[in-house]
Amino acid sequence: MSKLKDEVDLLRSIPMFSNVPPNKLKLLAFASDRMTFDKGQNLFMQGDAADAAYVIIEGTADVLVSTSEGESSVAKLERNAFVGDMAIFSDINRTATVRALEHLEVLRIKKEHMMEMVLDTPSLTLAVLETLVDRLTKTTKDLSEARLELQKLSA
Amino acid sequence: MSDKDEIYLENQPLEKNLLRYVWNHTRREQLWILSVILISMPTLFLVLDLPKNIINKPVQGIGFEDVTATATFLNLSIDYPDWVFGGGTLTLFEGFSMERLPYLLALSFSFLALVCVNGLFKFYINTYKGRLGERMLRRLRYDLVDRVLRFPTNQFRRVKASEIASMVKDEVEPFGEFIGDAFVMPVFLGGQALIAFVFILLQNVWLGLLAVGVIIFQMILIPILRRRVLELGRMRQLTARQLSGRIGEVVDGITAVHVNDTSNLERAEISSRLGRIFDIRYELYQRKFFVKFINNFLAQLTPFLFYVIGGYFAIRGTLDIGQLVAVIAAYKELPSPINGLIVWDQKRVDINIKYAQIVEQFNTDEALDARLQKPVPGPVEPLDGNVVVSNLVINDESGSSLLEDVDTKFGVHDVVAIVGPVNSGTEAMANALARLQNPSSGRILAKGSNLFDMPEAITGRRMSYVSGDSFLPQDTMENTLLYPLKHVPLAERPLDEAEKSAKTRWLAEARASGNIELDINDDWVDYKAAGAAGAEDIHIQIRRVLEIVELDQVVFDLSLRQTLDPAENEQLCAKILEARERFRGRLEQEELAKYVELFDGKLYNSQATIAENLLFGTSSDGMFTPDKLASNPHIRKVLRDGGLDEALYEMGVELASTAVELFADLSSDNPFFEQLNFMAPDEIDDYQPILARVAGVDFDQVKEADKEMLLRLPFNYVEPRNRLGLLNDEYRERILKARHQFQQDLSDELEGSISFYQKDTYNRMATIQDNILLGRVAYGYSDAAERVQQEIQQIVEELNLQDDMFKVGLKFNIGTAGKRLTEVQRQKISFARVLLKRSDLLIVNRALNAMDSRTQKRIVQRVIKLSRGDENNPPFGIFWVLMAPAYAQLFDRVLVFDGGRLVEDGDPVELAKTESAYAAMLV
Repeated sequence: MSKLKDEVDLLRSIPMFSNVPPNKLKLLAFASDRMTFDKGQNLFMQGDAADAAYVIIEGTADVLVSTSEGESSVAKLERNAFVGDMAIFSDINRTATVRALEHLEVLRIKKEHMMEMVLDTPSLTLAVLETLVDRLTKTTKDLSEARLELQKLSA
Repeated sequence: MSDKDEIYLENQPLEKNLLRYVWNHTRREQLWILSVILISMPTLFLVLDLPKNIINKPVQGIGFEDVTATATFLNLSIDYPDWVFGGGTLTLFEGFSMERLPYLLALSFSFLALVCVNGLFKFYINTYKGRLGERMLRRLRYDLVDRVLRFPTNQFRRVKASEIASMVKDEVEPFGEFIGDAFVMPVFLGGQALIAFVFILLQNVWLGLLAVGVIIFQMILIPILRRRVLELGRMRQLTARQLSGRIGEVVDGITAVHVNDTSNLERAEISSRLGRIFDIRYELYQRKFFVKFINNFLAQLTPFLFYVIGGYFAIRGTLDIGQLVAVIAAYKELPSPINGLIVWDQKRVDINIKYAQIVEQFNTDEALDARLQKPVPGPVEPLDGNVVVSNLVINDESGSSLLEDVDTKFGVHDVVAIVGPVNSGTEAMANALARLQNPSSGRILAKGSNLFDMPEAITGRRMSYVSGDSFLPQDTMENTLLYPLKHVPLAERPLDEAEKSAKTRWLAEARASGNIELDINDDWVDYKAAGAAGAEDIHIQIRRVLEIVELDQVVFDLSLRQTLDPAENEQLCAKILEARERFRGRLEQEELAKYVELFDGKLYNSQATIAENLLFGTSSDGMFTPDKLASNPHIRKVLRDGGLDEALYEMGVELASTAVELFADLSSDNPFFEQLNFMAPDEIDDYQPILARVAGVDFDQVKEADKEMLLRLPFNYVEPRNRLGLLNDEYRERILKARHQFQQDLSDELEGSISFYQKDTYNRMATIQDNILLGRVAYGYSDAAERVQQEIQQIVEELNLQDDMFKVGLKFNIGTAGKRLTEVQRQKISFARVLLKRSDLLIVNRALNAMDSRTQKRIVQRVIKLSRGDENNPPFGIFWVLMAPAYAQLFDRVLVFDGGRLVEDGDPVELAKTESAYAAMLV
């Protein structure tokens, strides 16, 4: 019946947290807020200061980036998605808007709690590093593919 | 004393010698108390003399050897010696003839009467001396603060605030006691000593001279020994003062201590200071007691000499033994007055040094002329015409120049911007114009006369100055805003007879101590200057200036967090209940419902704590606060009856183990602790052994103390927040039952201890917002609080309560140094309040630097618009040192400073188009 237990299980299923000791995960869940968003409500907006990261418990959300031609959706988020994590590790503003596509249940993890946890748990520090490297690799790959495509087009 | 003399005195430096300072102010009182003491002497003598008479005559029967013998009582006759009219007796009253027993009674009752009279004399003398001392102390403290108020501003860079406070408060404290005795004591003791001396001299000249010789020796030796003691006393005072200055600095800079891990540096530094104080004090003790030892020794040396020399002469037959005995007896009277004199002198020198030390800090050559601060009750002439700055040079203390040879002229009502890099002279210019910095040479003329010779009544009322670091003392927001309007008391507060006589006494006492005779409790606010008729409509003006700096919404938000006493605010509270009604109406219609869970006597409120659900109200006298519920017998009974105690206990165990599991290895300042709502960080360690003790023990067997500790925890539990799944429907049902039973069982006397949540009652312990909601904002919606507040604001506007709420919001206490406000809010309130004064010239010195640039621009625009004047507000001039040169375009004229010089002066829009220094700043 305890929601906290479900939340801890949910956190454990996220790769970044999989090796974090159970009592630390429970502390993180305990300190987080469980929040509800209605369809169309924003979790946060592009350009806002980043103060928290979110784990989606139930429902789906859209990641939107505003361009000169208006907003465009760059990704969909589903159950277990961890979003907004990168902005809280540095002082950059939100790089995208996240909007609920339907009724959404999330766990909101405050910046200072996440930071404290990373500093305190070496396994989490490594996991964050791993995730970053993965993302960087993917971005680099995408970038070189895009360049290749561009060369093909201009050739 | 005429006003002129008084001013003259106030402008003189403070008297450097304490005795002279005291004599100047209390001459009459000192002479009076001296005469009272002299008058009291005969009674004192008789009180000492009578017992001997009672024992000798009626008790032992000297003079009553015959049974029928009588004695005369109250025989007032004076025997005068042979050398006056050949000797004889002058009889004033022959007295009564009495037998032994009546004589005993007569003497005894006379003794009683004399004891009373003597006691009353003592009582009068001591109170009089006490009052004298306290008045002088009051005068001295007042004089010192008066000097502080007239210090040139650069003086404050040399002395620390906490040092001044320590001087005015602590260092002068011992003076009070001394002042009462300053003149009386030496005269009195000196007189006693003199009489004893004369007596000794009369008995035997040589022995008398011997005694005098020893005392003269003492008087020469002691000051020599004491020189070092005095030096040490001065050092003690200085080091102690520096210690308090240093402690003040540590407290002010506490953040730097934490972020740099320098707490141990501070400890070492304080310790070294304390060590130095210890050394000084220890040496002081050693020397002091050595001086005392010498004193005592010399006092005992004289009798020794009497015995040896006097005895020798007696044996040789050159001295009568009777004389020797009389001399020694008389000498016995000597040491106490002599010692008293020595102690007095020691104190005098000690206190005089302290006094001189203090006065030195307060005497400065550049103190503001007291005439410039005289209270001016009426309105003062407005400033107009031109401000002319000629050859203005300002150097700082080190001699480096802040302003060099500035010449300019502008109308008081001109709208002028001043731009330039930091330290280019812009701030010095603004400070000089506000008279905060004295020119090194050159001058500033306003309305044809030297600005620095104008009374503060003109500069302080017709000019305004605001900078970015204005200090705000702790007070309500309203008083903070009205501060610049309080120059002199304008309206006496209404007084009843008793208050009137109290006030008269109060003012007379102030006069006796040379204090200012203005009543702080009168109404000082100059409403007219702000454009209001009086206290009733001043808030309109306040709102006007708060709107300019965008602080009006903040005041509304604050008002929702204030509490109200319905006894004093009957109407408003009734209106708030109406607002509650409307708010509930909206909940029924709109999607707002999910944001708020209302309190309902029949339902469990899932967003509220278990304690709130059980009490269904707030504790109004501290008896039923959540932390005391577990030990409250009423609550415990209700829990027991409802079968809840074991259930809550189990929850407590669960909560305690969760807290221990999650938090045990965290330091108590870890940010995670903010989320622990049912336990204090330092309690974790207490719960570990409790959990170990109760493990596997039946509920009935658990010790009461442990039970209580565990029962305390669930009272703060909120399911949607803590999400531990501890509450089920059955428990909720039981809590509801307990709620009803608790209310039924509550005795009449406890009725007042709780303000219950009732639909038609105003709860004086709850905030206004809680009163309107009569419910809890739900957890889990990011915009819930904001939406609810919007709704409330709409309702407040519908009910036309904005004004009332605004006034309530103004009662918000801003905290020490305004720390309950943000820095931006502090700057805004400082800015708003100088606008309230509606002066002729507004000087702004980078006063908005904590705000973002868009806000700054909006405020600049609004203030310029205001300065043009409208039907209600006269136009005024602006002299604004800007952070962003671009905003100078909004002004009529810009002065550009660089390197302490005025380098450009002109129309900002024109200048921007040319190749000017100003245009260069815009890039």
